[in-house]
Amino acid sequence: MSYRTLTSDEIRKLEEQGCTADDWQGVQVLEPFIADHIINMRFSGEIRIGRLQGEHCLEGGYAVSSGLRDSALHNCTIADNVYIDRLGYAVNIDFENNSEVRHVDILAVNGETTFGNGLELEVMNEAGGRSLPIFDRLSAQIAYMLVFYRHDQELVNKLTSMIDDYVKSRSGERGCVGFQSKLTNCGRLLNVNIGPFVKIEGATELQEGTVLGCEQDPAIIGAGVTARRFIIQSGSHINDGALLTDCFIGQGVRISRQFSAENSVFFANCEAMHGEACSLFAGPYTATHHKSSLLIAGLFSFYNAGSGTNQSNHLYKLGPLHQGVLERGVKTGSSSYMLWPTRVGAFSVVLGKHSGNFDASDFPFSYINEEKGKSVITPAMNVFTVGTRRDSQKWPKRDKRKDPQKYDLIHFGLFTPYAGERILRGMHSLEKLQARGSKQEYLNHKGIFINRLMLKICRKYYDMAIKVVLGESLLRYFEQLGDDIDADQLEEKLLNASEPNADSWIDMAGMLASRSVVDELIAEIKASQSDIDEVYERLLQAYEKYDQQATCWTIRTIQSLHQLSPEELPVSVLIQVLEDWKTAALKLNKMTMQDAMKEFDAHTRIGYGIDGDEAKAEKDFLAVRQSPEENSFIQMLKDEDKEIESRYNLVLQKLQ
Amino acid sequence: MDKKEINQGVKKVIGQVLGINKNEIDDNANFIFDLGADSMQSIQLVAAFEEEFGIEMEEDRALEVQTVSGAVDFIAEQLG
Amino acid sequence: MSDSGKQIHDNLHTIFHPESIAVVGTNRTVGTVPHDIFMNILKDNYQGIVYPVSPGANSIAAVKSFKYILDIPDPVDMAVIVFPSSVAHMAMQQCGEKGVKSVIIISAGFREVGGAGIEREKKILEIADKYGISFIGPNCLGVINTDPAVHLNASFARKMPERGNIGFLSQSGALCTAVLDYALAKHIGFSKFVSFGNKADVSEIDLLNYLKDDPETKVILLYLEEISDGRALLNTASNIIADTGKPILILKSGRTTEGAAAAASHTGSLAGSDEICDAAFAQAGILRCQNIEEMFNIAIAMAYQPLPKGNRVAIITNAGGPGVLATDAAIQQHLQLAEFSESTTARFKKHLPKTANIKNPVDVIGDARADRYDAALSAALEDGAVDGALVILTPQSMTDIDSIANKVCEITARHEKPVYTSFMGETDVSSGIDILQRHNIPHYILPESMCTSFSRAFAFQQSLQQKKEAVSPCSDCERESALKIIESAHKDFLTEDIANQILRAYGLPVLDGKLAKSGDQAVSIADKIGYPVVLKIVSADIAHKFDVGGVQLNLKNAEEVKTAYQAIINSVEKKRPEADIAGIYVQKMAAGGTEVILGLKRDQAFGPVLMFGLGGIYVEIYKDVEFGIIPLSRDDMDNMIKGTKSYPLLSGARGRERSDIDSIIDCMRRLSQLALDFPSIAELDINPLLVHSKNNGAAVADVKIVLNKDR
Repeated sequence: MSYRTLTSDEIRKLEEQGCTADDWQGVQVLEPFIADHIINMRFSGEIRIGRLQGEHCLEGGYAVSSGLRDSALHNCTIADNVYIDRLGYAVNIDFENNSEVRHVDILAVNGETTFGNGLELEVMNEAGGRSLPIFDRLSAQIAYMLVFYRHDQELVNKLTSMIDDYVKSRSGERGCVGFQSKLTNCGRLLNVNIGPFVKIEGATELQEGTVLGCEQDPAIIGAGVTARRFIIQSGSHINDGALLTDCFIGQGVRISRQFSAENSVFFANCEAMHGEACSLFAGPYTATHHKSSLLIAGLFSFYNAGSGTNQSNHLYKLGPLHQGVLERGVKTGSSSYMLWPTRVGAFSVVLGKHSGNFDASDFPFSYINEEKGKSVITPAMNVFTVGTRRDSQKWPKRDKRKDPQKYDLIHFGLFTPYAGERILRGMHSLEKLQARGSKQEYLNHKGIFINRLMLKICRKYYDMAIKVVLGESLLRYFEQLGDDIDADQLEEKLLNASEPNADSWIDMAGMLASRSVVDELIAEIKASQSDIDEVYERLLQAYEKYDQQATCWTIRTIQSLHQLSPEELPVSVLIQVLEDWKTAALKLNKMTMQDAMKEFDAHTRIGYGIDGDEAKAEKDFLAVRQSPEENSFIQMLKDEDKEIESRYNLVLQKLQ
Repeated sequence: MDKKEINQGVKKVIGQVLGINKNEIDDNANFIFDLGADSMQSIQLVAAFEEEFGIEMEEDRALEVQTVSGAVDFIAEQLG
Repeated sequence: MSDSGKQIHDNLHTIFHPESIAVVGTNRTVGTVPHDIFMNILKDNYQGIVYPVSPGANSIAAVKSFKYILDIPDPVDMAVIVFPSSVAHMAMQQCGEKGVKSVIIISAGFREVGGAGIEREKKILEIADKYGISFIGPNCLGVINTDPAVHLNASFARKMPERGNIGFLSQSGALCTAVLDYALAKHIGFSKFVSFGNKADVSEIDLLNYLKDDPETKVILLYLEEISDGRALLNTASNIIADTGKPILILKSGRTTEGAAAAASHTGSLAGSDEICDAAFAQAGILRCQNIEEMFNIAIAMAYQPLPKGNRVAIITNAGGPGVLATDAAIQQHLQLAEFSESTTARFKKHLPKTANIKNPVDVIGDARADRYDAALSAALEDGAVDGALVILTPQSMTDIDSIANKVCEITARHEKPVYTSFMGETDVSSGIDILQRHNIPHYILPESMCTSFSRAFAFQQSLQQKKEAVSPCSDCERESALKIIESAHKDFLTEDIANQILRAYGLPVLDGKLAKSGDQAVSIADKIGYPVVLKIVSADIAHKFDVGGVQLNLKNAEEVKTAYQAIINSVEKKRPEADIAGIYVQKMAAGGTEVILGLKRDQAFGPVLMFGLGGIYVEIYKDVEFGIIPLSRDDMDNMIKGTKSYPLLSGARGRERSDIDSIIDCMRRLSQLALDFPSIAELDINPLLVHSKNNGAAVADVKIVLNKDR
């Protein structure tokens, strides 16, 4: 396929149709060339035009022929079946097949650019120190290592160097409007690379960035959006006047309603509306829907912000350099406030205003309230709430990513070994506090207060939870074995499954891994002679080790709790674990049902306030010919009770 | 321990947990309706009773006790 | 209105217009329901006095708090109970002692959780009964009244909605929050907003009756999860619609077809609870909606604009494509494109450019500004052949959207005809849409929704014109005879001979027939009746005779009868050896006719239901049936017949003779009477009823009756 210059007849026809060119020799076309649909165009520099056949169907069912109208192009390439209408001017742009551009002011590339790749964002620490270089294939896990493993400079340097190499490959002097992309009613698009299947409608300004899409999952940028120095991955929708500066937007993200963010990263399935973010590391499923909510200098994931959520990262001493960590599953209530540095344990709820720094990471599933200016924690209170259970079920169902290539690796689940390890830590901490024998009303633990009278019952609830974790993990292992359970050989099989040891657990922005797996991963990366692709492979391997590591941890924990040596695991102990699981799981369901009854007035209706947000976000209230959500939740719990019994009986039969 | 002593102990605990004057607690008072206990405080009351009287109260049954006199009877039963 | 009805009405009035409220069980913990409800009342500018009642606090948000409601020195009009369910009865008791007659119970943990919750609910009902208290809930979101004289948000919904004339009643609290959010975004206002939860005391019936007389409410929306008293709902709704013309829109979550699965008859298996709901609502004039969006699309049409008096619409657009889409949608929705008069056309020609399309849909062209819309819309609305206008706008660079929106508002206000709009797009048109919404001009994202809404509004207007006169009872029905037959039945499934006797007693056109217990007897009966005859197996154990070779048709002489008799016996004994055979029914063979089915079933919510449709053995495959809730008016019966797809077969299509539809109506009337007189009849199938040509009547060719097990 080769281009040719225009014939004089063709030039005359084009001129009759209002077209001009600085030099018609610079305009080359492919056969068959039809001049009919090239009207009022101004050409300059090197122009290449493909075959303009076919139609585009616009909103309202209005069909137009491919063609070029009322626009100015300089040094542009037009592939086949392109439609351009009222494009102020385009400079150094390649328009790929089937792309469509209408009513856009400026689309230009101004010299060499990396389109946002390689840009360093000041995440977590507004004053710097945790700079994250972004690129268009960034994953949550890679970002996590770069931001949080600054103590391992060798790792950070290695990753940075791999990213630098990748960034070089993204550099160029020409921009692209990708295959089947549509740009309509936009302002200025400068130094922007637009991938295939992207829709940009009404964006005000995009500068220095990349937008990716794919057939299964286009990226959509809507009205009034302004983005400067950014990367947006496939399947994300940015709408309603959102304002992004120095941002990375991962896959399946929803940002709208004038949300503004700077120096922030948003990974898979985040949702952000109305509020603000600054130096935010938003791990998967971070959600903030309300006006007056600010997320600043913090790590969040599987998170929901009540309206008016706020934090301070500024102690007015050394500048805004403080950071916060909210482990996965945390929720903050309306108008809640935290002063960084602070750390909150997994699946906890924070209500009220907290002007003291604390570390509550030892106590997952907790309620953190403010009582007369004091930050008070009630550990384990969130183990059996409706909100917790619903959240854990909803996340896997809400994975919006349809791109076959999913960058962020995510482990779901509520009572995972990760949670289990945290629960054990919580129990241990409570025991130590109880052992102090103090008669004070409140006991201080790393800056937060616990009511002495709650110690016992909190420990009891943790005990219930850990039994659920261990039993659940063991059952999963047995169920995977299927019929292949021979009670006699089981002990040996399990002991074999407990190597290599899985000790503590890390949540790498959505991916759960044991410390040994993470250490191994880091060592492999540091030793790598390859490019960033190898990192993805290693991460995937680490991701896939989860089940095996979960079983390891379960067995070792059972042995530890039952005072067994690493070589012992009698069937009688396993049966005991399962019995404990069954009792605990049924009790947990009963308590959750009571929570659904809203007996515990102080806490559970928080679910309502936050569920209201979810309904808004989900918009599935539009389809109502189905059972009401609340009743089906209670029914689900009742069905689960039956399932608990049957799972238990099934495995017990095989063990006995 | 006789019931009168238990009664005094119960009121002392309630006064401490709920922050009210133990002398103003009526024998028939309901923890929630009359004394304003929320659900957390209901749990704290159980733990405080256990501590005060050196007993273990089965949680579900304990939470069913909603009045001062009910608590006195329940504790008396536990103490034998 | 009865005394108790008046009391409930008055108590409800106090709930919506309290001069003072006590929030019983509130606390200081921000973010909890007890706290938030109190704060909502306070901060959303309630015009009365609010007292917090909290045993644990001296004040809530700097407002003096009382330990008990009895401690409040002044009278209290309404109490909102937010205590946990375990002590709610104590709060209720004190409300009674205080003399409070109107209560809202927000707390959950009652009937909806079963077990102890049921007992708790009973307890509060007893107390309410004792003191003459009416209460909404329990387990509800609360109540909102946007009347500026009250301005009450006694709920834990985040925001107060805008004021409007739509009354919203919902059984689901969670749905309410979503609806409020949706409505705020679209500037849809409410008069009253109620979540009634468990409806232990005040039900949707009471609330509907209240809204009937509420001058602030013009349209009523209802979301239901279950129907406790279907008849009451239908009667209430029909009365409201007939007396006030207020439309009632219902969103009812669907149920499974478990009721249908267990049925013995065709009617039973076809009459799923959702199909009956559809029929019941339609019969009462209630508009059933598929989802919230549809509900509000129709609601705003009816709340904001007059009901269309006809279905001739003028479509005005500045873009051809959307105009075509709207046209297609209009036709699909059985609307007509108005034909403009000559003077209207002349006006279009005068004010619109030559390139404009001046036939319907009127295309004012892409560069149209407010002046062209003005001219087109004014002329259209002033044309007597136009019943309403649908205005479409697509944003071009020169389109002065806000001016056009303002112009549409202005012109609409000058006319009594409905105007609906569709400004297509999102950002550019948003300010224009805002103007339309604030001026109560219904706006739709899609032309299709616009047309659907117009069509539903028109259909509603038409239904208001239907007289719906009750049908008088049959004076010649022999109730006593039928009663004797039913009382002496041993089994639930009545054999055909017995069933025919019942039908005969009620004057249905049963073909001559008698039970034979031998071949000779069969011949003797056939001789008397006259040939040709039909022979049918009679056994309470056999529901589907054809399936077991239990039917022989068109027997022309004694020989054939005898042979057929034996053939039937042999076949049935082989296929169903266990069946208890009462004999063989010898019946006159009907002389052709169109096969229709008439059936009866009892629905749990709505009571006796009549079914009519295309009959025959494939009735469950074609499913061309319509339902009606007994008692039916003449119009209802007509609508049922005309509503079937196969109606043209009866009305004389393709050169067929018109069938005797009056005889079908007569049969329906008699069956309805039978259903009302005998609650013990659980199901009844007449399949087929053979309908002959006009004035030649009909004949019952086969019938099944199933009685209630616990009669």
